[in-house]
Amino acid sequence: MQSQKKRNRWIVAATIIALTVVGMSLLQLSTNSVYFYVPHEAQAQAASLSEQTIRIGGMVEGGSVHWQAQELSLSFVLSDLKGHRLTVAYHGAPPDMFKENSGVVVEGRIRADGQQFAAQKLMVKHSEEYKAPGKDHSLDKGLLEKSLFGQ
Amino acid sequence: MQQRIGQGWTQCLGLLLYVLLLSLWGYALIGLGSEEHQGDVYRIIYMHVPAAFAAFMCSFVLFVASIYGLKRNKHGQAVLYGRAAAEVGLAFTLITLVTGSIWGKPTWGVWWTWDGRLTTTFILLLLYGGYLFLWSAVSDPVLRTKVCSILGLLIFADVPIIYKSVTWWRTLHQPPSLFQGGQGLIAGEFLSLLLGGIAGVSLLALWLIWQRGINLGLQKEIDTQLIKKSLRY
Repeated sequence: MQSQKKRNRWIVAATIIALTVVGMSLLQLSTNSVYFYVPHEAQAQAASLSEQTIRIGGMVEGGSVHWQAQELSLSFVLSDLKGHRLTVAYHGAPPDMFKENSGVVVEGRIRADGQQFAAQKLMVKHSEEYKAPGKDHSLDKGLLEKSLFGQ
Repeated sequence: MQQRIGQGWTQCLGLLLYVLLLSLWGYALIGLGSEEHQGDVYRIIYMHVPAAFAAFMCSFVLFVASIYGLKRNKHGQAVLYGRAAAEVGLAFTLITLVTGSIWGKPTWGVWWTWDGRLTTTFILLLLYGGYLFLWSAVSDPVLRTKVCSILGLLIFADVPIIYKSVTWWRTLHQPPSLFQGGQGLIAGEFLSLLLGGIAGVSLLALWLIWQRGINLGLQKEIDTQLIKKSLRY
């Protein structure tokens, strides 16, 4: 009897520990550390965020990319496709997958006015589609937008 | 101990899986066309995705072995299969992280970033490693079964978090392409090979756990015999 009780205690303890860890990690990741902001969130808090390194995710606006190979300087407009835009400046060669109308996550500093962003890191956000060549060239942009901005 | 490693048919089974997977990866490299937007880099998913699923499956085996070890098999074989699952899980988690990193550099532009998916997978690697660490830290077998099995339950709890991380939080890693209700996110010719790879690597993981579990059981028996012998003199 005694050992049965003890055994049950172990199982209860294990369950509690498991639930705690799961709960804590959920809380931690969902409230305290957002992996990237979307443009309007970052712009709304630009004054306070300008003191720290942050990430912003969004779409590269078509026709906005300026690349100067000699200076290795790149600039483009990052947009949420709902009218919130900011100009991103980046020094260095962009990744191969970087192009207009694709999703990116930039890491760096936002200016206090919320209009300019100096990126130290430029990452391309890929969508979950895998297409056979030649058959259908278009990626479903909706998937990428959903993954970036939510529903 | 009735079972023995190296019986003819178990070896044949392992060899068959090995040949099957090698030909699958060979076909993925040579037989399939490149992907429209990523080019040839995408081919690594035939190793990356199956390895991730295998690492998840190892945690399930670990979970079952831990429950069984906690409830009714304190002195027995169950926890040895748990340890085998942790070892195999560690290897496949490492493969997942390394292949993902190799894919990430040309696709995202970075080898690593601390987003939800990558971080939780890294935690899985640490937990598997921690399990093996803990195993060697506790010498009393009954206590070891208890503490390791509890950690085993925890490790299993991390897996749904990894799987849902890309839907719950904003991440650089893309959301799942598989099992999304027939939306056809992966072109048909890529998909069937990928599903084959997942099945093959999962079977390989099971085979490895099985063999390693028997191996650990034999080791335990040898140790017991040696102790008995040395006590006699």
